[in-house]
Amino acid sequence: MMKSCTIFALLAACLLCGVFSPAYASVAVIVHPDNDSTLNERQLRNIYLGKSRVFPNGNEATALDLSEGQARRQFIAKVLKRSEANLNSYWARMLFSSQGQPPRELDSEKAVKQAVAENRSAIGYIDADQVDESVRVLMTLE
Amino acid sequence: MSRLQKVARRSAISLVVAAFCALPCVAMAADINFAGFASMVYGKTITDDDKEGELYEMSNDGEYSDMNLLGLRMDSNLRDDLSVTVQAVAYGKNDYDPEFDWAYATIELDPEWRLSVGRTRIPLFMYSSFQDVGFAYPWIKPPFAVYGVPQFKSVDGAQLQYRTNLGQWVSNIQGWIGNTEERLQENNLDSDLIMDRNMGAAWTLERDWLTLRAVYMQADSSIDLTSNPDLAALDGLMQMMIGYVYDPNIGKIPNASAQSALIDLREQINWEDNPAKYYGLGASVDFGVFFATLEGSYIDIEDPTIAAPETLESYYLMLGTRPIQDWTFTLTISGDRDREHEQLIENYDALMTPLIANMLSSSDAQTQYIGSQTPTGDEFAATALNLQRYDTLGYTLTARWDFHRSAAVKFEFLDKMREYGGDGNKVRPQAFRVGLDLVF
Repeated sequence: MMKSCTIFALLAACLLCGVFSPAYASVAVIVHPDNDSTLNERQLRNIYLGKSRVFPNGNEATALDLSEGQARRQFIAKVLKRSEANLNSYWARMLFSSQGQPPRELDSEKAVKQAVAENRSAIGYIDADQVDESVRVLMTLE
Repeated sequence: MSRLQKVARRSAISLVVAAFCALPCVAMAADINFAGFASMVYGKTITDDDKEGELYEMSNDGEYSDMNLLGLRMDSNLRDDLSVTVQAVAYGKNDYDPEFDWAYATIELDPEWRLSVGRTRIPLFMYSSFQDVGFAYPWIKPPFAVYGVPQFKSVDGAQLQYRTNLGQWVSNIQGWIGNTEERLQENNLDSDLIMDRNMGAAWTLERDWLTLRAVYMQADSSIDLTSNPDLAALDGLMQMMIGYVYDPNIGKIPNASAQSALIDLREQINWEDNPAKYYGLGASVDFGVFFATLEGSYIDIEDPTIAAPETLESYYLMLGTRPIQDWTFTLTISGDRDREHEQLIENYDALMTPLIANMLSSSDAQTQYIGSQTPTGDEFAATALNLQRYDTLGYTLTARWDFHRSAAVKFEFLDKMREYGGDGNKVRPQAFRVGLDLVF
């Protein structure tokens, strides 16, 4: 009895520590190679929540989102610090009060990378493994 | 096809037609986005002592259509920096006739400055601009104590917005100027609320988990009180008296000096160009699992009027939690305190009591009759108190389940203690309601 309790406690501890959680890939926040801005996480969050429409250097910022996938889930949890449900409610509030529209959603990381490579004001995020020289990595989220 | 389906179809069609008729030019524009929202609510009071309309639009029989609404929004980017927006809402309580809350053109002067011209929603309180979009907040309807008091939503004029970063804060200032005209249906009134020279500003500061907000608005308000039968009767009597009642023994009633006071009093009682000032403060914190919002408002109506209190203070505190994915639970405590125009009641009593006594002592039957019909000081005070004084304290428990990316179901219990017309008149209606909110 004692032994099974110990095993159960160890299992619970492992679960809590995330030992059995799937390994997450890093997410890279990317901009056009000519964009020399730097951002902290708060500024990134403000751009993605439509509260700010400029990079810290004053240049216009156009956020691009992924419509689904692991990178999107990680980005919402780590940067936006909201649940999906809470985020949907937030955008309903912003849209119908004329305060902003949600970022344009693209279907694939390839599409995000291409859009960022073609637009100096664009900012996006993709799985870090997908990054190449067509874009500049502004920040990596582990 | 059921009646409900017919109504829904008719409303949807009329909304779309109305949206297109309003701005035919945008149909030619390249980039048009449609979005919409809908709420379907069933509510029923569960107490016996409630009167019709005590608790929003609910009654003991259950209401399934009066709180329903359907909204459609069209955004059209004519150029990169120029857009046109139209938003119409069809309310179940108005038989789904569409009303335009937003119809404006916006020019982006730069990424921080925006100027909108046309009809825009007044951002009076935190949730005012999207008050009809149930999906955007935890409750089925925002707290009535704060959000139900101002009987207006939009302003026709110009709105300027400046959004910028102030260090680690995001600052958003919205200023507006224009006129407002809304249908007012309350206290047996059914007339237009007109607000001229409506101007104000709202300032919101946000930083991570904290949002702070302050607002000020002022306007000259007018309401035709004669749509209320009791007030119409009083006004008729006063007009008759202003035109003199003649008694061969006493002479003119009122006499010349009292007559000018009577004209003044009639102006005081009526609601014409009364300056009103609105002040609001709000704060909200959001730590993810726990969140809270506190908002308070203070309305000061400068000149007396029989149908409005001198001041209205209202507030609510909402405490919320998101303990499990897709579920939100909130407890809201809300209240308001209205203070009557005591000076108006005193003015009426001082002037009218001797006049009524004069008329009643007249030998002329017609004069006596008018005297007997004119409200005494006490009767006037009772009417004014009934119209001006509502103190409430309410509790609302809401559970929200986001079962879909763009749909949520809500369950709500409301308990409201309401005291009106001074001491002794108390009601405590309670109600349940269930709602479905959609965005599309």
